[in-house]
Amino acid sequence: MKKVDTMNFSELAEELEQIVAWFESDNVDLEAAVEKFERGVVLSSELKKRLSSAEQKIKKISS
Amino acid sequence: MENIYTVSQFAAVANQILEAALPFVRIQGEVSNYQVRAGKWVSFRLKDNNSIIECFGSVWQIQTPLQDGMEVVVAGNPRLSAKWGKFSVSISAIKPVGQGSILKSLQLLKSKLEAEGLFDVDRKRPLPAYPMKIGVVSSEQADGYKDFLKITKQRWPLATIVFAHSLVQGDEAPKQITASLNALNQTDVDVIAVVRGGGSSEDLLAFSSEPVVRAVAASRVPVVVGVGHEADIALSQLAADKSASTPTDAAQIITPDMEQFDLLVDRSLRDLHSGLELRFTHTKDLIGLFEQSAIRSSAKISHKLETLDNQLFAGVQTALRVNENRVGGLTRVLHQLDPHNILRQGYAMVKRGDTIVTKAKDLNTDDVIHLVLKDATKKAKIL
Repeated sequence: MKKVDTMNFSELAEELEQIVAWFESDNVDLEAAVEKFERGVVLSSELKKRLSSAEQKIKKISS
Repeated sequence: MENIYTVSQFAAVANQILEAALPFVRIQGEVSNYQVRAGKWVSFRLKDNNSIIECFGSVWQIQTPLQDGMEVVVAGNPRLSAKWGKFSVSISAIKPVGQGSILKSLQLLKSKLEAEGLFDVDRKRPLPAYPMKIGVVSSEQADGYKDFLKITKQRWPLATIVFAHSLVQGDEAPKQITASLNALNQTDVDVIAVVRGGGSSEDLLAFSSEPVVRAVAASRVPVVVGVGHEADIALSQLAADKSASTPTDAAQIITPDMEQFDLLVDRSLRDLHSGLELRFTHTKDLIGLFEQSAIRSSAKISHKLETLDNQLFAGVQTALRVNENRVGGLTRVLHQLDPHNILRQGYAMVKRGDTIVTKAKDLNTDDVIHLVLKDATKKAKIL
């Protein structure tokens, strides 16, 4: 499992989406559910953290 | 003596004079007899009501599509062709003049690029869902750029804006916009926005120029073009992966809304909670079912055991009774066989030593015997 601080925003969001989709499926494996839930919490809190620390940066390049 | 020129000398001198007197001219007139030879050489006659001037140039110099009847300004230098003896203008640039001609020129370019497939829908790529680096081509002073920054900051401040300044109107604009697009393609931006606010149709012409349209179509990175107001459509908007009506619209198309995303994350978390709870409930139900069935089956087992137990007990009882009867019978038989019973009836038993004597011939005179009676044993002597 990838460490969240090495993942970019899209990767985090996509993995969270996949986990939510897994929970929406008919899968009933409790052990996997607990594991996925814990992962989901980690992902969502990382996303929240990034959202809250957001500040627009502007970089200029010349052509 | 009057100077006599050879033909070549005269042509050379005439060209020198022309070059000195008119190094660069702009001539306005109507295009007629427009021709392209070998896909390389452009020629036409520029005319007004009374005069005609021949114009020549290459297709690389003349980016503007032309058609007979268009009013244009030709920029170039006049010269006398020594080989053909014809006076002409060597074209360096052409600009359509007046709404009609501009529109005509745009239409021609549009059909040409359309035929090449630059505007095909299947060329359009999806934009990244969460762009972290957004390239912007615009003018630093342009209101459109400020609008774009404002909206992206509001909606998606996580992104870094990589800005490549460019003039957005005038003759230099197409070259600068193209260069900026190319420069941004060398960086790791996720998406590029080409934006400028509204202006006159003429102000927006750079965004319909062939080099810019081609650069947008050729971009490695997906491009959104947001130019002018909704009424104006620049050709580069048709070539873009996504067209926006204004810079603000471009910002909205490119960025997800952070607040919405925040809500989405919350909802995901809630979904996860309820999903997990559901699994727990399911497991609890499963455990419950298991327990019930366990109880049922254990009841069955104990009932079975009890039955067996009863059966066993009954069997033992029967066996006991049978044996008891047998023992009782034997006891009675045994009892009947007890010799003491006979002694009690008045009989006596004769013993010599330890031997029981049953026959008279075994006894001799003076033998000492024992008479065993019901209550005691007495010594006696045979006479």
